[in-house]
This record gives sequence, structure tokens and C-alpha cells, in this order.
Amino acid sequence: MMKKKVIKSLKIFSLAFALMLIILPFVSAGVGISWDKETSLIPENTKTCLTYKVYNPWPEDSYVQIELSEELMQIVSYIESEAKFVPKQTSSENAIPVEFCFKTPKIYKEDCLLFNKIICRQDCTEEMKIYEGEVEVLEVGEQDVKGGAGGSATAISVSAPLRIKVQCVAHARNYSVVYILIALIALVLLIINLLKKRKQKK
Amino acid sequence: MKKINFYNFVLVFVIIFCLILLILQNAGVISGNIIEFPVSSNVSINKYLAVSFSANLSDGILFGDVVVLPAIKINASHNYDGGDNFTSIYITVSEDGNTAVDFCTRADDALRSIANDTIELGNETYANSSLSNLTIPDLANNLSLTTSYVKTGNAVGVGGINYYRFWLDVPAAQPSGNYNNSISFKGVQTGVSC
Repeated sequence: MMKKKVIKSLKIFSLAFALMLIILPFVSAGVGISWDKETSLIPENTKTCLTYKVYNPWPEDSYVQIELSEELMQIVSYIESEAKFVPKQTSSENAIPVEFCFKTPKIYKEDCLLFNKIICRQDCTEEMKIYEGEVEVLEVGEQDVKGGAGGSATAISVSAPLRIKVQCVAHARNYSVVYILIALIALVLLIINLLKKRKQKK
Repeated sequence: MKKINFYNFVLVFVIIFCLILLILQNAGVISGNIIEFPVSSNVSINKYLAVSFSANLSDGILFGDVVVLPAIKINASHNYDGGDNFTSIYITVSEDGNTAVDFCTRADDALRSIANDTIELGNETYANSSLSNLTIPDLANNLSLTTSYVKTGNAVGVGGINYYRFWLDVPAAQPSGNYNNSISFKGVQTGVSC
């Protein structure tokens, strides 16, 4: 009785396995991207992070990697470089977030009174700098040509456009360093004066 | 009662005055040393698209063994092996999307053997269409692959399919060997450049 049950289970398992082998070649993994901003306005010299989402509505698991185009790579400070696992049947509603961070460079010239760095003001008369490129999500997996006899391996990706506008923040001349310097000199003179008085008393 | 030293009084006044000015300078909008700032965006519409290779396309584009040279417009193995002679090399746009998709295609290099012999990219050609039968995608519309992205499929709607056929010319003097390269397909929102 038990032996019959085992044989029956084995038969079912073999049938399921055979079915899987037949179906699998017709199934292919895919890649999806979801985004809600194409332009970001970020002040210069500022670190900020953006989040895109990846999904896979297809019936096979996939691994994806996020890449930025060359121009955006100039200012990127962090990007998740490891391949991300996206389970099969992940809908756009359940898309998985992928984050990358930028640090916008200091690009607009300041008008400084000392050493090109101190007591500066920013007028923002220059044209706005824009980094324009794309966020690309690539499916990563086997790249070899199957079948042996040469040909072209294939790769698939999806991308979304992204423009980073670097904002110039206008400000008046900053005299903080001068105030600190004068206050320090006054403090030193005050201490010297107090010490002298103490000595005179002795 | 102790006599207040006028000199010290002036120094203390200067220190306090400088501190007040320092606070005033940096408390308002006057300062330019911003370190962190929230991102402001001018678009709040959510867009999403997903694409997938057919099983045969994900296996690569194969041309089989070539035994007679020169060989002109050899068919890729899967050019006609779909049902009713349609191509089984295609990309599907998922129904779980809200934007039509343009496809961009490029090759990384010429077809190259281990011995570094090459079949130039101009010899590897393709045609694409949003439908497929015995004649479509049509050889008459074949274009050579390039190393920079070129728009291939245009405005493939949600749930739509972009079909491809590939052909290869092999010159008479081509050394024997296995020749390989890599072809990339990229899906972008319709109207966006590659």
C-alpha cells in the first residue's frame, strides 16, 4: 500500500518536473522601471538622494542593476552597485525602490574679497548648469550565446530620463570671518589686560 | 566700589557686538553655506514600463554553421520558427505599464572570433515590425547594426510586441571560427531619445 503511494507520488513529481522543463524555455525574465520625477532642482554643493523603483511583472525571477549615463556619473556620489533581486510577478504597485545619491558640485563663481574664499557674495548671474542623462535598469544574467556556434548575445534594459538642474543660491557678502577675528583679537587683548592687572596687584 | 576699567569695557563691548553681528549674519538668509537641502521636483506624474525578451531572443541571436562562402543574408535560427512562420525573436511590453515604449538597439562591437578575426557590423542586419508573418519583418527593410543606439521599435503600446529578424553576410575570405558580439535592446518612454 505504502509502496503504491510512493510510486504515485514519484509519478506526479516526474510529470510536474517534465511539465516545468517544457514550459521554462518559453518563459523569459524581464525588467521594469517606475519613476515620478524627470527633473530635479538641487542647490549647488548639496548632497541629495533620488529613488527609482524596479519591478518584474513576468513569470520568472530576475536580477537587475541600475546605471546612470555618463554625464550624471560626473556628480553621482553613491549608487547601489550590486545586482538587485526582483522576484517574478512583482507588479508596478509593489515595485522595489533603488536609491542613488548625488552631490552637486560648486560651480557658480563667487565674488570674494580675500583669498578667493573669504568674505564672498553670490550674485547668480551665470546660466543654470544642467546635467542631463538617463537612469538605466539592466537585467543582468547570462550573456553567453546558447547553442555553441557563434552569434550575438543579447541584453535588455529600460531607462528613464533625468535632468539635474543645479541651483545657484544668491547671498550677500558674508563677514562672519571678520567678526570672529575682531572678537578673538578683543578677547586676547582683554585677557592680557586682566593678567597684567593681576600681576600689578601682587 | 571697584572702578571700571574703560579699556576693558570697550573690549567686552567689541566682543559682544561682534557676536551679535555674527548671529545676525548667519541667522537670516544672508548666509550661503547650505549643506543639505530638500529636492524640489517639477514633475509629479508616475510613469512605469516593463519589457521582456522572448525565450529565443534571451538565448541570443544565432546564425548556425556556415559552410559555403560567401554567404549572403543568412537567416538567424529563429527568424521563421514561430507559429505560422512568424519570427520568435521579439520583445513584449508588459500590460503593467502606463506608457508606450520605443526600442533602441545597438551592438557592442563587430562579430569577433577568439583569433580576433572580425565580421564587420555592416554585415549584421535586422528589420523590425509591430506584427509578424512570413514576410514581415521584411528583409527588404533591413538595416545594419551600429555601435550607438538607434531607434528600432516605435511607440509599441502597453501589451504590444516588437518583432525582429536578423541576417548575416559572411564574406568569401572570412577565416573559420566562432564569431560573437553582444546586442543591447533598451526600452524608453515614447518620444524620449535613445
